[in-house]
Amino acid sequence: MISTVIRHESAMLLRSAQIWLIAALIAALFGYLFLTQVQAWLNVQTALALEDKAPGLTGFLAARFLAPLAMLFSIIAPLFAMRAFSNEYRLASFPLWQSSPISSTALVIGKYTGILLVLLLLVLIPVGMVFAMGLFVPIDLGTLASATLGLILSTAAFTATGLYFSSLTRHAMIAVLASLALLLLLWLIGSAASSAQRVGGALPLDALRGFSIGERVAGFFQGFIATGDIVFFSVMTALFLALTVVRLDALRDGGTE
Amino acid sequence: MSGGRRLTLLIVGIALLAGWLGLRFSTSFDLTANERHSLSSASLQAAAALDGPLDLIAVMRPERTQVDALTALVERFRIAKPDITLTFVNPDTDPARARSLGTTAGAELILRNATREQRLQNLSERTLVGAMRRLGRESDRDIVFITGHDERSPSLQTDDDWSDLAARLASSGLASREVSLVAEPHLAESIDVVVLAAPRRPYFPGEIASLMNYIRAGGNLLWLAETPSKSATGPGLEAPDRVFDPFYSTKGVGEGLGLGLSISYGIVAGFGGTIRADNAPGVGAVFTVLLRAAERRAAA
Repeated sequence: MISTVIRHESAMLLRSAQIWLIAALIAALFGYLFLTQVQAWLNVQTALALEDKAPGLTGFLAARFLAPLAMLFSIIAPLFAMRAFSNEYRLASFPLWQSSPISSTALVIGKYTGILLVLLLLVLIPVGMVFAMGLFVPIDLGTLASATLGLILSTAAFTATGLYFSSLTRHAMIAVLASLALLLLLWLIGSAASSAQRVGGALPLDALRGFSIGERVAGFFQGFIATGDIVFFSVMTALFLALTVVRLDALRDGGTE
Repeated sequence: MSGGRRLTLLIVGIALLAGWLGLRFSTSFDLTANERHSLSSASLQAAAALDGPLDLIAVMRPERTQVDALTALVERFRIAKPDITLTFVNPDTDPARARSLGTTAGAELILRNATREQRLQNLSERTLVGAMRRLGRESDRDIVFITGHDERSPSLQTDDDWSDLAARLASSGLASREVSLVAEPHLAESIDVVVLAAPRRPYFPGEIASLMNYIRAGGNLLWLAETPSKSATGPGLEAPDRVFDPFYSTKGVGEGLGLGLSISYGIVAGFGGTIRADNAPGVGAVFTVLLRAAERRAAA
């Protein structure tokens, strides 16, 4: 039953011309960023080699090329998820789902998986670029695997956030803006906390560091995985999926869109 | 309050708790090929061996990559030594503080432990561990300069004397004092190193005897000679090219560690100098220590 929802949701995205346009633009952006960072690495290579345990090409690209993409995916994921429920509300097709024998949980998980699968195809593009460097130089598969895990986990969490806000409103734009606002806040918490830490700020911003996406995601791109970071993104994903289910159940009980 | 809202609060509460537990009991794994994020066990031991809180003051421009690298490095040391604090001073926005710390133009890391401090310009795990080791060394480590025979003095500040050397030893937590063998013929075993700082007049037989007694009891002698001098004589070395090897000893097993000269080599190398051992026929063993008076500036 869930597989039907997954296939429906993926097909909806893949049939949309806008999505392909976005994907093409993003792929071009990935390519450009990749080339600039390879160029940057060639410039600093000799200086890096003098360091004690220097990051190699993979370490450099993971930190300089793949890490900023986590922020890019926090914008892309809500864009892909924005129409999941909003469109159903607006086109009045949601009652059809409600009257079908599919439970709210199955519907949420199905739609979520469908969107995430398409996004993971996008995640594979930059990862594949770094992996392709293995044709020319030895690459550090551990670091690449850890960075890939970071991208996947963070994208999964961003998608769940976008899906939840999509279930709140019939206006896709509002869903996107709300998700972006929340995700931006979670990114900014990190920079505020770390800059406060640098100068010894007066406000207890350090307490917020636990919520910071930037701090949680950074380790993955350094090849340094912390179970706490994995838990953070898993919990964030589970939280927003659970909230979406609660929201759909409330609608089924007669709430308004 | 509706059931839906209560459920929402419950879910958020569970998520916060799960997230907190996840971060509280987090374990890290280093997946990089060269184990970039792992400290060697020797580094962790050096950090753990340091008593009392360690304060690190980084005087540097807040360039993200450098700040992050330093923060991450310090974070790794916190596993072994939780009471490390790290503060940043930006010389651009807080020049008064930077000046009061007496820092040089580039980035500098100041390590403070109790009353002692170490400074680092070139930061890596290796240099940081070296600085921690120097900090952790007993401050009452006893370095004795022998006086009375026109040696270079560690306390006089003339051009001929070596107060610079004593000052740099002091900044490494190594205090030094001067002893005249006439006034104190017995050199206690607790003295860690006896330094003969380029004597220009010969020692008396009684003085040589007390130096020999001290060495036989396992003492360390650092003999700094500026030019091979005929004024001082002593027994030659069996293998001058091997004396700086760690654990090389002419004594039997269990009678000495054979580390004295190896440590001397390390001390001199630490100052960017060289030490050489030769046998001068009819004179004895000659140790030549070359120390640079000042860092030569790169030609512009």
